[in-house]
Amino acid sequence: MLNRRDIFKYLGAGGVGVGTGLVLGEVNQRPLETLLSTHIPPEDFSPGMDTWYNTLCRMCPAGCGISVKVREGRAKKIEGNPNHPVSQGGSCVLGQASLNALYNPDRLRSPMRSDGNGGFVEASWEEALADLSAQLDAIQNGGQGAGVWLLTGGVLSSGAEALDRFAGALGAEVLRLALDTPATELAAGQAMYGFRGLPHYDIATADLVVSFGADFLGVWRSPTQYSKAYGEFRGSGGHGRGHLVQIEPRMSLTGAAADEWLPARPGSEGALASALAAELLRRGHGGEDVEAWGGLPGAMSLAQAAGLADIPEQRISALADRMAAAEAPLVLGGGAVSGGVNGAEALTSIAALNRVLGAAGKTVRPNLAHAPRFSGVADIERFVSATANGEVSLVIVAGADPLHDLPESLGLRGALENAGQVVALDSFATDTASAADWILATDTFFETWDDDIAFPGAGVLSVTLQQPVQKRLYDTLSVTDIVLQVAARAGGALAEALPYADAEAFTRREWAGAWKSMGLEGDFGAGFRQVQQDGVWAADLAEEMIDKLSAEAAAPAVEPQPRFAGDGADYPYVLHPFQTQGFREGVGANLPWVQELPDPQTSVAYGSWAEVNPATADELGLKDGDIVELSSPAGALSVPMVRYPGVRPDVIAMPLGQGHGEYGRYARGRGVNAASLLAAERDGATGALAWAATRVALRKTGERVRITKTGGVSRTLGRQILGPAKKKA
Amino acid sequence: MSISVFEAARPVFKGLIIAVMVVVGAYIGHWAHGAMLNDYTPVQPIEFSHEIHAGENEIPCQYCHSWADRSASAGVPSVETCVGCHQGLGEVRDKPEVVKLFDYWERGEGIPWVKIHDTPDFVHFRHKPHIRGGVECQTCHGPVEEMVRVTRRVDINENLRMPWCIDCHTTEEVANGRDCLTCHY
Repeated sequence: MLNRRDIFKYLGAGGVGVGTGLVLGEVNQRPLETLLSTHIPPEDFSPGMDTWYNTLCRMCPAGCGISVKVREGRAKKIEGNPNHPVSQGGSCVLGQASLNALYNPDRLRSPMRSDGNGGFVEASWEEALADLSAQLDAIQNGGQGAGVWLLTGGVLSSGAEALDRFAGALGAEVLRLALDTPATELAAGQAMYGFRGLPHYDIATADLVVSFGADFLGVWRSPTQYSKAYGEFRGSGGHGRGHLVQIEPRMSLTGAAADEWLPARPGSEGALASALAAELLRRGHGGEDVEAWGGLPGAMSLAQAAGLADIPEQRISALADRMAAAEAPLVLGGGAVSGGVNGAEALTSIAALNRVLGAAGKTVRPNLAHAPRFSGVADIERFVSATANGEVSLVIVAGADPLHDLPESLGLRGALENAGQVVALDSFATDTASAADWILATDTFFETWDDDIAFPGAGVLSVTLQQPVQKRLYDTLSVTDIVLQVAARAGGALAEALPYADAEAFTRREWAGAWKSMGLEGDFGAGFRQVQQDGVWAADLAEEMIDKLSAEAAAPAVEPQPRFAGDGADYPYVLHPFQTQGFREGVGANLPWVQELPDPQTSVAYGSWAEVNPATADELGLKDGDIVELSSPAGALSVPMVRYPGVRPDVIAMPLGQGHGEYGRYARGRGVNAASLLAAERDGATGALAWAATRVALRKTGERVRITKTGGVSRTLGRQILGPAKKKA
Repeated sequence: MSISVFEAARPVFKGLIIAVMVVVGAYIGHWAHGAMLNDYTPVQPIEFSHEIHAGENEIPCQYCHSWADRSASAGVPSVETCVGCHQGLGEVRDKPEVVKLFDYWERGEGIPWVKIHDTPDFVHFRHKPHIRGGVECQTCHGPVEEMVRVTRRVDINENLRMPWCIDCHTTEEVANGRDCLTCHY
C-alpha cells in the first residue's frame, strides 16, 4: 500500500505546509508600531486624554467659535463652541472639514520662490523676508507707495488691522475681494434703516420668514447661527411653528425646507417686494415712519409683479394676506438677488417691505459690527489699468484667491502678469499664489493668533479669539508674523507703525487697547486668560442699539427691472451661480471631506454640474450626465448636466467653487469654474460686482459621463412620499 | 473481471492525505512562528533595562509612566524625563546606551520605542480605571522589573485576550465588567 515514493510525497507535502504556515505567521502578525515619545512635551501633553481649546473657525466670514479636541498635541476634531453667540455649539461641514486643511499633504511647508517656468523651489524665511523687505525699503525711500497694492479678503480682525497699518504706512492701495460681497446689502440697510453695517435678522422670534434668495440654512451670511434660529422659528422656541416662504429661481437647501417655494424669474425679486410693500401700505400697514412715503408710486401692482416674476397672481396675493396677518414677520434678501445689476435696489425694496411690516426694530435689529468695505468693479479696473501702465511694482496677496473666485473677465490674471513682483501669503498654492513670484507659507488658523469681530453677528457684539491649538506642523508663519517681521526689517514708517514681535504680541496689544472700551475693568492679564478659556468676548448691546435705527427712511424710488449680460436671443437662459456649504467660493475644494460630500439637492459629489429643468432638458433631448457646453458673453465651458426639477426652465444653475487650476491634488482640475462664465457686470447703485447677471446659451455636445452621485431616482415612484396627506377612507 | 472500488479510490486517498499533510504542516508552521519567531520581545532603539531601573533601583512604574492613573494611556517618558535624572548620573554617562540617550536629547528628537503591548482597535482599554482599581502593573505586563528587554507575556494565547479579561472582571465583580459596551464602543 504505502510505498517509499508515497511517504516522500506526504512528508514533502507536510514540509510545504510548515513553510506556508511560517510565511502566513510572518505576514499576519501586526506590524510593529512605535510609541508616541516626545523630546520635551508641550505643557498640555497628556497621552490618551483630550484637551479642548476654544478658538475661531476661519473657513468663511461668519466667525463661528469652535472647540477643537486636541490629543497628543494634535488637533483631532472640531465642534461648535457652546458658549459662542454665533455658533451656539453648532458647526457646519466646512468647519468640520477644516482639519483637512491643517493636515493637507499639499500644504506649503516653507517659503517658495518661483523658478520662472511655472514651478517653485523651496527657500528659507531669511531669503524670503530679506527679499521682500529690501523691495519695501526701496519703495519707501523712492516714495513709490502708489506702486504697491494689497489684495485681500474682508474680515474684521487684528490680523486685518495689521495688514491695514502695513498698507497705510506704505501708502499702498488695498483691494478687498470676494465674489459675493455684502456691498449691496449694506447700501440697502443704509437707505432703509439708516444704519451702517449688516442688520441682525432675528429668525428665531419671527412667525413668518419670507426669504428672497437668501439660502440662510446653507450658505448665506451665518448659516450655523441661522440653522439654530430656524429650529426655534419652527417650534422649539415655544411660540408655535413659523411659516417659511422661499422665493428663488433655484431651490436651495433653505428652499427645500420651506413651506412654500416660489420660483420667481431672476431679477424680478425687487419689483415683487416693492409691489408687496405697496399693497400692504394700501391695506393700511406700516407705522408713522412709512406714512410719509404716501405709498410707493413707482411700485407695480401685485398682478403686474406676479406677471414679471412669472408666479400665479393668487399665490402672490395669498403671500400678501399672510404677511398682513403675521405678528412678527421678517423678510430676507440675499444670494443671487444681491448679485444682480439691480441688487442694491432689490434689497432696498426688500428692506422697505420690512419697514412696512414693522419688522425694523423687532425682527430686524442693528448691530455694532461694521461690515468691511469690499472693492467694487471700478476699483478692480483701476488696479488692472495701473498694472497695464506699468505703475505697479509690488502686489501682495493675502487671504484671497481672486484668480479662481472672481470672474476671469475682470482681467486679473493679466494684471498680475503685468505687475512687477507678486508676493502671495497663503497656506496653499492657490490659483493666485501659483501666479506669484513668491509664496510665503502661512499657518492655518489652528496654529496662530488672531481674532474676529463677527458680522453680522448674532444680535450681540462678539469678538472671537483665535489661539493656536497646536504647534506649527511646518516652517510657516502667520500673515501677521510676516507683516511684522518685514516691517521690522524694512524700518522707517513701517517699523514705526508695527513695533510688535509676533502675532501673539500684536493680538494681545489690540485686545489690551480695546479693553476699556469693551467696558472691562481690572487686570487685563487675568481677563484675557478668561477670554482664552471662553474663546469669545460678547456684549449684548442690542437694546441700546435699537435707537440707532433711523426712524425715517425715504421711499425706494427706483423700480427694479431685471437686466443681464448677453442678449436673450443668443443666450436664452439666465445663469444662476450658487455657493454650497462645503465649497463656498472655492476655499473648500482642496478638502477631501468636502469633495466626497454629496450635494444636498442633487446628491452629486466630486465635480461640477449644471442643473437643467426636466422640461428644458426634454426639449433639448438631455439626460443626466450629458455633457453640455455653456457659453456666455464672457466665456464658455463644458460640464455634465443634471435634471433638477427645482430650477426654473429658463434658468441654468451651477455650483461655484470647483475648477481650480492649482490648489493641490484634491482641487486641481476637478470640475469647472462657474465664475469663468460671469461677465464683469456691476450693480447700478454701488458698483459692486454683479455676479448673478449673466445669460448663457446651452449646447448639447453629444458626449456623456456617468455622473458621480449617491441618490438613485428623485421621483417618488408612486409611493406618495411627498404631497398632501390623503385622508384615510 | 472484478472492479475494486478501493483500487479506483486510491488516487483520491493519496490526494486527500497530501492535502491533510499540507494543512497540518501549515498549522504547525503557524504555531511555531508564534512560539519562536514572534516579535514579542522587539529590539528597542535603546537597550533600556527595566531590571536596572524598576528592579535594582526600585523606581516606581508611575514615576516614568506617569499618566497611567489619569489617562487611557500610561505614556512613555519624554527624553527630558530620562535626561532629568541622567544628567546627574555622571558614572554611567559613558555607557553606550546612555550615550544614545544623550544623542537623542541633543538632536531634539523623541525616542521611537517599539510598542509591545497592544489591544486591537475595537477594544478600548483604559489604564486609569485599572490602576485606580488597584490592579498591579505586573498582572498584565508580567514581571517587567526582572526584564532586561521587555517582552510581552508569553502565554499570549490566553493573556490579553477577552476570556482572560472577562475572568478577572467576573472574579473581581467589576461594575458593568461584563457589559459589551464597557470595552467595545
